[in-house]
Amino acid sequence: MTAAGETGIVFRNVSKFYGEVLGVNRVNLTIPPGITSLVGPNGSGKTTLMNLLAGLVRPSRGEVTVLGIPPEEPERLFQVVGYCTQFDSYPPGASGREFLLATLALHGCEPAAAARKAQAALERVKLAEAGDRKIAAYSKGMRQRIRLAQALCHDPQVMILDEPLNGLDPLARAETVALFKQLGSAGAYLVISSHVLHEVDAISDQVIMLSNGYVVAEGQIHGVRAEMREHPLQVRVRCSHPHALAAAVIGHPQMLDARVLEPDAWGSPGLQVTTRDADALYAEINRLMAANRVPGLDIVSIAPADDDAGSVYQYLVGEAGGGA
Amino acid sequence: MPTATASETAAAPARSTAPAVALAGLRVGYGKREILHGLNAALHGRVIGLLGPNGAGKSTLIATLLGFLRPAAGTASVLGMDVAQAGQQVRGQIGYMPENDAFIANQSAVSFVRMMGELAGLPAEAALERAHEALFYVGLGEARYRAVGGYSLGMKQLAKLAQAIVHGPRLLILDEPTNSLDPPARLRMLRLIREIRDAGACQILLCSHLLRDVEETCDEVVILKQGRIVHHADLAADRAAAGRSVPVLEIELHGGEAAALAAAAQARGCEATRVSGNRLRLALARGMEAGEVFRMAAEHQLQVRRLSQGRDTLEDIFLRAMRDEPAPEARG
Amino acid sequence: MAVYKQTYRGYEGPTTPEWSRALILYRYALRAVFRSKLLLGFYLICFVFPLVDLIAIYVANHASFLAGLGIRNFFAINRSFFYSFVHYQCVFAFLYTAFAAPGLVAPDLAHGGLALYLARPLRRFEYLLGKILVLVALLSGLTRVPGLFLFAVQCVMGGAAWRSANAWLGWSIFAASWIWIIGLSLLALAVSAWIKWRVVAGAALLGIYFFGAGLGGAMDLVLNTQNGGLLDFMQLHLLVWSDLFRLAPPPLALEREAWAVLIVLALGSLALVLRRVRPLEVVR
Repeated sequence: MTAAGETGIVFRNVSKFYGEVLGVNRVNLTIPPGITSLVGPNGSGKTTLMNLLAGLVRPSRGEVTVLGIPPEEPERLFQVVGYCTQFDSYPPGASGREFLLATLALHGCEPAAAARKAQAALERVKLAEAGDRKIAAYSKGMRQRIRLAQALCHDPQVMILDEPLNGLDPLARAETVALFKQLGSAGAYLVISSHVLHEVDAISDQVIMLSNGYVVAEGQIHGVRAEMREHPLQVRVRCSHPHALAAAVIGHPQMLDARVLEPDAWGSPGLQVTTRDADALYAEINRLMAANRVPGLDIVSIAPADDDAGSVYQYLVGEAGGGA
Repeated sequence: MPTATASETAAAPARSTAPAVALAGLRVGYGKREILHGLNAALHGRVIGLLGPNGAGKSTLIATLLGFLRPAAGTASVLGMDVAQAGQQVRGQIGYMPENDAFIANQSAVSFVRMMGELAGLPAEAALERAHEALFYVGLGEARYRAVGGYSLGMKQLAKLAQAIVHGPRLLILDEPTNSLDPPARLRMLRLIREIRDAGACQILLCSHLLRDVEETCDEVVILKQGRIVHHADLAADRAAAGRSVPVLEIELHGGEAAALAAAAQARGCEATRVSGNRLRLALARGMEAGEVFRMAAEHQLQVRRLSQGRDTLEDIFLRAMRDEPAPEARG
Repeated sequence: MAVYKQTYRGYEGPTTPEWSRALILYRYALRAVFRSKLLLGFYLICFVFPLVDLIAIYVANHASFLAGLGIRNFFAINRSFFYSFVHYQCVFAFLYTAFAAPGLVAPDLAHGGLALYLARPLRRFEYLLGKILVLVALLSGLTRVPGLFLFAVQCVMGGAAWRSANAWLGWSIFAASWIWIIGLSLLALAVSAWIKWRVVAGAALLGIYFFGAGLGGAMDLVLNTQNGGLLDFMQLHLLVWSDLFRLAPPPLALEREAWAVLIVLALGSLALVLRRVRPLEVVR
């Protein structure tokens, strides 16, 4: 679905200030197609970044181009961008379908095509039966879904979604995530902001992490983690004899730390090993088990302890923002 | 809340003899519409997860326990007290943290929490003491002297939690406590919930759409759908039972083709299915241990990089419970 | 040596009796009202008129003093005097209420705070009782208490003859003030419960006062009726009071209708408040 002149979403040295207050500072980003998650504490610049993407604010410095279109051309920009905000507001007295028809009319769609697209959007978010009821009577989850519908009813290439899964029950979450994946693999650009980091792991192709108005990391989580060499990788092994395992692996020169863990909810004790060389650790464990060098050792699980968005967030953003 | 004695590790949970919540044939409705169709359950857990799609009746159930709605039929009791007969007493023992914004503008957090404490029956001086304790416990420091209207979202949630615990209730009802919180605030809220659970002085009814949160904190789970209970499980018992069944392993391999290992495993009597890429799901043959897998892998020059027990997550249980019933009309 | 650990603990101590819970609201609301220096000042200004009347009573009872100043036939302290006292003082009270009352219920409703109140051992009517007590206390301080005080002073200074002729005035002052207090409190609560923004609620309250009078007058002119006075909040009370103070009724004897309208208004305000003060809002 690439058109001539499309070059992805590019931020070049972008800063945005609201008077003296910082929105974002010196952002350089190229966002590829697929699902990109925007992660960061409240006040870190996520909303500013999304507003810049959507063309709702202009950068104080630098330039933003979305599919080759600068924000100075709103007519073209708003056709390719769909924005789903986090705010629970809607036109009072409107039904779901009317809301969508109005949005489509604003995008210059003719009535016949608009009716078709509105129906398609309602079906996509599974609100087809409730489409003619007033939005004021919807539950919180339904209101979230109608907002999602209005962001995608005009088939935009770029969708900016601010906490789109907020208020959705697990089934609706799973269905919406499936919808996002479908859109992402069809070549659309989805920029999704979320606080639920294990979901970010599960659905995103890449992640942009913000803190205090700066981009602190971008790319695939595993790649980002691998780059963070000042934090050696941690691997967690749940097993029957953590001490024996520790004794067996700590001899290796690349091992830095072996910590015995409290039993988990299933009652398995564990060992957390910090190492500069994960390959060597895995190789060592496999050798141990294959040769039965630690008799009676039963391994319940092996998994990286900090190779996910949550851990990367802890390291890079830490406790800054939020709370008292 | 500071104890006046030397510290001890978290005491074993004190289970009251009466269940935290007991429902018998409970029917509740708004006007002509019946929302809850005859619920029967006795919930004993330290932290009870209340799950279900929107519109299933969770809010209605909570409103009934709080006495905001009267049962049309059947009974609901909290800690042994019937909510219809002894509503005032029941409310004195419940702490409620609503999902929506809930505060009183223009009052400082201390003043707000203190008033809430007094309204629950605490004498004035005790209320002030406990208000400060509660605010300290949830982590609101100097901000407590500022008006709640000016707080960030995370701080408002903490203030809501503080007003729910100030009077030392025996049942805490938390409705989406981690809603809209950023990751550190969410972790802190979950940590607080676990601490309250471990202190043993109160039971918690947790209502959330984030199944991970529920898995980390709850030991009993109730799933509602369309006004009926479709699943009621004691997670602690489930976990104990899981340990005794035939293990199913999920492994991720490195260094070669997973298919070779799959074939070898099948030859040895296991069931092997390929999940994706180089991930396999193995149901081990009787008498076989996980160590065998490593030996087989080594024979094929493969390394096992990830290993986990293929247990049902709460999400699997939930989705199954949802799909067991015929598809409803406009869900939401 | 000991390490003190913060853990959650229940509360095992004594609890306050249930009937006193409404008073907690009363205390907090009163404190909130007087925290504003402006409102405090306004409240104090409302005592100027009673003070003036106090001086008038003294002066009227000491005619010799007047004679010394060369003034004769100063006004007499009679039912008209007290009638106009109640009238003017109630106007002040109304203005004060327009400023003070909106902050009573609106902040609780604006941010979902009501669910928190009612999730406690507090019944709806106890909540309302607490709020209305504040208004009753404040307004009593402005109307009933000074009124009865002036009456008492006059009784003392006026002598036995005056007392026996006018003892019933005391009850009239009492009743008139109470009618005003209850009617105004309920109306103010209803407005405060339905309008979220304090300034707008205050303006609405003032508006009801002035608009009613204007509408009544206009209606009389346009529709050529005589009942316009029934739309005027103040006028209604004046009618009822003229009944209580046994004054000559105004040309159009609408007392009975006035009583009826006032009762309906009070009940209507109460109904409005009850409708709004609920822990759950259901939209279908």
